[in-house]
Amino acid sequence: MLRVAVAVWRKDLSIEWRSRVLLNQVVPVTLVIVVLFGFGLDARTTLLRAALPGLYWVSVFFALTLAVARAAAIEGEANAGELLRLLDITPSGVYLGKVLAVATWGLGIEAVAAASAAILFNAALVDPLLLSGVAVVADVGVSAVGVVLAQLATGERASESLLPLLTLPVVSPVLLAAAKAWQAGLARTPSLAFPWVEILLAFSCIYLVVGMLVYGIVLEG
Amino acid sequence: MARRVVQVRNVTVLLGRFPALARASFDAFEGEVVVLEGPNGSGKTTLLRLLLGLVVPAEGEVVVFGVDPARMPSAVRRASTYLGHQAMLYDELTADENLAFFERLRVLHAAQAAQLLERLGVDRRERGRQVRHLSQGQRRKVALATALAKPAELVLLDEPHAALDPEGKALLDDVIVDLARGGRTVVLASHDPGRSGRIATRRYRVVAGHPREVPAC
Repeated sequence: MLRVAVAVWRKDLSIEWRSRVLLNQVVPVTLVIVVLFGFGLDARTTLLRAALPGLYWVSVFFALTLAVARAAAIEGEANAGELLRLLDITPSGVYLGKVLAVATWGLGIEAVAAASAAILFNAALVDPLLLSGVAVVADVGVSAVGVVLAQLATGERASESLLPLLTLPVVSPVLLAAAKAWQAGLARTPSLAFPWVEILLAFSCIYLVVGMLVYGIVLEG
Repeated sequence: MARRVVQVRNVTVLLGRFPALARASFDAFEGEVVVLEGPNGSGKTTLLRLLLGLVVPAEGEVVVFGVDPARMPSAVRRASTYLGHQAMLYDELTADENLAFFERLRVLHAAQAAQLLERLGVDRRERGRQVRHLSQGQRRKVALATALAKPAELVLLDEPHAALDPEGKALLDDVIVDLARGGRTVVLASHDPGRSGRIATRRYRVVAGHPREVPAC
């Protein structure tokens, strides 16, 4: 399974590195969202800092949804859904590889969004260990859900617009827990973050395990 | 007597309410090149997909390697390789990178696929180009090499000569004949009987979802 996951992960990263779709399209969109929030809240620093966790995770969610759609598009272009079924390779390995690829892109997107929010909102990203740990776990949680739902939506009419609608309700606990943990971290009260980190870990692990179990069924259609 | 690899008996397949196959029967034995001829939309592709469990019959019996592919698709797919109309390659990767990916999945031996590509007339320089920059014919050859390099007992090819030039078609015919001589069973669909009929050991004419055996050339 790990061998398949690593092969799929490497392949997706190679394709993205060559096509640069995420770099040229998703990263600018993320930056625009962050800037628009700054303008929308009229550069009131206190308000912006207070709203930063929520704004950040809304921006990251939409960027990750685009990354998931891109990961599904890579397979769609090669008609790989059918190909992977025919090759009879372990579907959980394929799933894990796709999740790892989306999560890797997600980490880049999160870093760009965090840096731009910190600069534009004039906010110090205190407790970077906590913030980055939460970002990694939430990234995996959203990717774990997104990869399954993207495969489910493949072939449906308007699958691109369907994806965020399907994903948002399912990943709400992850986004909520991540935003609350970030809020506690930024307020220099890390002890208040731990219950949210536990919820975040629990949901991300559950989503990942469920995804590994159901991806083969979804792939088989 | 050669081992029976495929047995299809009185199979009906409905795509929606449209009968893609109507009481279809055909056989394929080890080492044979079975050609399914017929016009577009006659049911040839559905027949190939039926053998892999990608479509499920409404009635009738399908047995491949002694099992029902709809019930045990993994057992059949593990021992089969299939090339449909689409190339099933990653356009952003080079031909070599595509082969390397499938090798990492332990689906094929990249060196063997590279040899096949050489034989089909795709040289090292072309293998280093992104698939999206290759001509339709070259893409088809890369897809064929990828499919044929899998060590599978049953080879299913849907219009394998499509997009190939006359030289490429002749080279592919040689490869297919060699595969069959090596004990593999090849079932190929074609709407060009003049081309594929030359290599067929068994021929079926498929009309309106019903295959009928015709004498091999």
